[in-house]
Amino acid sequence: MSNGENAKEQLLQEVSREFRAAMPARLDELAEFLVQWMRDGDGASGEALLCGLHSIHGAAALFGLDALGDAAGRGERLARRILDGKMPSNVPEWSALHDAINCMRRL
Amino acid sequence: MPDPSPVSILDSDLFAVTFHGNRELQRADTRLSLLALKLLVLIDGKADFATIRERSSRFASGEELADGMRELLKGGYADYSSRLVMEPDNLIDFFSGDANEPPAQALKDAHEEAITGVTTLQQDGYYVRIAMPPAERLRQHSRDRVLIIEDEPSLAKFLRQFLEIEGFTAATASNREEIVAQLRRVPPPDLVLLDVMLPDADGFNILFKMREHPALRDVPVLMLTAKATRESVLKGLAGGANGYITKPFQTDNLIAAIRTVLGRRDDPFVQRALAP
Repeated sequence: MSNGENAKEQLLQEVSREFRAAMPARLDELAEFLVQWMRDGDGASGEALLCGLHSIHGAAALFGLDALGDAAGRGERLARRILDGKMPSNVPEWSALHDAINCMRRL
Repeated sequence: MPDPSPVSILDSDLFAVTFHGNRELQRADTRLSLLALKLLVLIDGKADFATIRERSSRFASGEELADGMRELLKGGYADYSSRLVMEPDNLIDFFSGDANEPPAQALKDAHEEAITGVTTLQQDGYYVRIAMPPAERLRQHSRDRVLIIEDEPSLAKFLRQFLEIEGFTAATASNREEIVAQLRRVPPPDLVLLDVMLPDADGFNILFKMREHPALRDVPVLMLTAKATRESVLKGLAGGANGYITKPFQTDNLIAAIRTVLGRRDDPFVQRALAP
């Protein structure tokens, strides 16, 4: 492996560790957005949740965390459907969103 | 008509009024000469030098035109549009309200290409338009400057350091304030990697606003998108994106897309595109 490739691999490992370490706090934050959204119907919280899930979805696979990325992607799709008004008050959708976040916690 | 070369202006040079110039246009007690003021009005709305020369021929000789342009440039009332930065008034406008959506004709024109784009995104993870950048971009910079607009901190950090290992100079911006600060820098970045979904901004809106801005309209933009839908590709193509990269992306694809859009001749993709 060349020096450049070594440096890239080390960088990936380092950033991946940081990403993983930050995940519990981020998932707490996302869960809080979800609760706020459900409780107050606050669209801004919904947008923040969607953005957070999208962000994790986009990055997780790069850091070798495919299952986390898949769960975030599932959550993102659900949040988008609710935000778009396709499932505005459908209990199973909210519940599935909770499940997606809990699933991410377990990974 | 005397040659206006003392101010080193080419007919193709594009000028725009600066923030300072705009304020001067609105003042009742401007200190500009009448000629410079007339020229400033001609430049307002952006104009190339050939157009300014033609329009000013009724009231100014070539020598007077050169004097007037020198007064405006030296006083900071107008500048080459390529050197213009985002100015305070424009900054507010940059993020206020929605940008103009691509015109219907642009969407129609991009229709066929969007199908190719979606297919390529699904197959290769990236798609760039085969539209070669301006000639000056083909000159070898020591390090091309890439602005990464990405809100995921780990990903932004990774991208910045990865691009630096690959020989680029990279900067990151994750929110409106940082985006504006980075886009105001002179000269503008050589390329922007633009996430579509940001906490307080929309990537497509940023793209549309960039394409409307005189100092940023020629900066190549690669969209980073988690979804390779025809709708999003069509919107980006019609709005002037130079390419797409899907998330999660392969680092090799990212580098290939960047080098292609920058027109690096050593890139195999560019060599194929340039081949007779």
